[in-house]
Amino acid sequence: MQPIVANDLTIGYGKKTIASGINFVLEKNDLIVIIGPNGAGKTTLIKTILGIIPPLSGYVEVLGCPAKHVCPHRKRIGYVPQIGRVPKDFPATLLDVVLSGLYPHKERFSKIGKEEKLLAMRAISEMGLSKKINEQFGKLSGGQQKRGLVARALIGHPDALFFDEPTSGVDVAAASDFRKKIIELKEKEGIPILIVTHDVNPYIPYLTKILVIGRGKVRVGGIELLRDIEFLKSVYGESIKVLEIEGKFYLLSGDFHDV
Amino acid sequence: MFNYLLLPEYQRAFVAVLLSGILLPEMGVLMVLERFTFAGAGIAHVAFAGVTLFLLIGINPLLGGVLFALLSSVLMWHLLEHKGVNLDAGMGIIFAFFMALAVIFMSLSRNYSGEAISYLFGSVLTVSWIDVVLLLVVFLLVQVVLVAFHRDIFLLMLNRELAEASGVNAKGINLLFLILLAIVITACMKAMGALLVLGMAVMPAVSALKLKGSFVHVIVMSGIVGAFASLLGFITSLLINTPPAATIIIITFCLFAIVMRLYKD
Ligand SMILES: Nc1ncnc2c1ncn2[C@@H]1O[C@H](COP(=O)(O)OP(=O)(O)O)[C@@H](O)[C@H]1O
Ligand SMILES: [Mg+2]
Repeated sequence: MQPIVANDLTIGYGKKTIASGINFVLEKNDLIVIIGPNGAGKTTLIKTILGIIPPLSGYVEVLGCPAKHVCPHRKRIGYVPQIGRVPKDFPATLLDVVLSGLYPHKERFSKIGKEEKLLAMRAISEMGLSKKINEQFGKLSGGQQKRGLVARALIGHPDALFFDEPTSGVDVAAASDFRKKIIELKEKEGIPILIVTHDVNPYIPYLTKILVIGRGKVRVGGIELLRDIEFLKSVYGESIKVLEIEGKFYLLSGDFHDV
Repeated sequence: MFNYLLLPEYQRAFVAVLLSGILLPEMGVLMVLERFTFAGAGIAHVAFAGVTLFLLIGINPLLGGVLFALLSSVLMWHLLEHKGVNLDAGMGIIFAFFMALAVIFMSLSRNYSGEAISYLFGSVLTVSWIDVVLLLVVFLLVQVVLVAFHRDIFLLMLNRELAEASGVNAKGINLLFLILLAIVITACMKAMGALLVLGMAVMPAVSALKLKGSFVHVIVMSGIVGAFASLLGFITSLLINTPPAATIIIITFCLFAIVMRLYKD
């Protein structure tokens, strides 16, 4: 079974269409990178697949479950949202936040047991945060919080992982570490991955597809999409320029900010 | 001092102070974390408008209070979830309208404005057994909701999308929270006063958040801090013969100041 199938999907809010004609499949061994300008609808697409908002039309299926249905399968996707820093006084330790990844799978009044705490500790050490396990989540650095959220996603043994701008707001070194972890998860654990990012380069050796979204248009393909300057102009605007240097692609434009 | 407690009105006051002293801080933790304190103050004032209207037309004023509070909660929720107006701005819209109503009702009901004032500043010694039973019911309701939904609330406060992806009905939880807040504030208004409930909700909550710990831990702590502060304040007011609600708030503030000094981080 393919973890995700989108067929002529239209996404948006209420009467407002953000993008339409979205067709793609996330296979078991895929690492799909989603790029597009700010406000293009990358987060909207992820929210639609997760069932947080309904598709305006078309079909999307997650782990065999069509989007219009409420089914528990959806919880089998590990989701790392685009999240600002959690406030310093947020009342939770790293362990609490990671354990909350089990909430969707728990009965309302059931308790968290010892084995579940062990699972959490394993996920935390997998993300290299063992020393921080009992620290207040809000006091961790931006990068550590992100890794904590990945541990949270991993604890439920997800069948797919979604990352929404995982390295935005994280310093360069931490971001590079973090990407290594993501790629490791794909290579070692064989979890299919969907990543929204502004910098495709670090993923080029590993990605299987690129999804470009912007100004209502969506295309899915390989690296060659980044060489189609006419298409990129229609997505990013006329002022976009692409430099290809040693197999890396640099998109330069006025309305392209923050990585 | 202790012979006071043999008098029924002091017994009622004691229970009312204790229950409000736990209830308000518990809700206060959620208000502080959701950045919702102004809207909370607004609900209290709107409830007060309802109280003055029902005093005027001669129906149980608390009924008016809870109706108005619920109305404003649901309106705010609607503005938030369907019109994209955040809670603070939503309250800014609703607040002025209801307060203007209250002013007009008060001017029409000169005879009753004394009683209306007691809802504004609190009048714990005039609490009736019915008020106490009502408070107890609200108290139990809140404990049940917190136990049943604390995980949903936790996820929602961590991140809305994360919560929704985990199957939490965010809209529903927000509505539940606002409705609960309207009920709690109205139930505590007679004892604590519309102007003072906010302080009782927020100060122990912020203190408990400083003491750290997990979410459930912080809620329990805020209840304990609130219970301690409100009882200490009440007893102090009996000893030095000052208005109870105001004394409770001042004592709570002192405790808050001490916690802030001890836990500077
Ligand atoms: N809840 C919402 N209701 C209506 N419009 C929204 C909502 N959230 C986002 N939008 C709009 O949808 C568009 C796409 O947003 P988003 O998917 O967050 O973009 P991206 O993640 O690509 O930066 C933006 O124009 C944004 O203003
Ligand atoms: Mg986004």
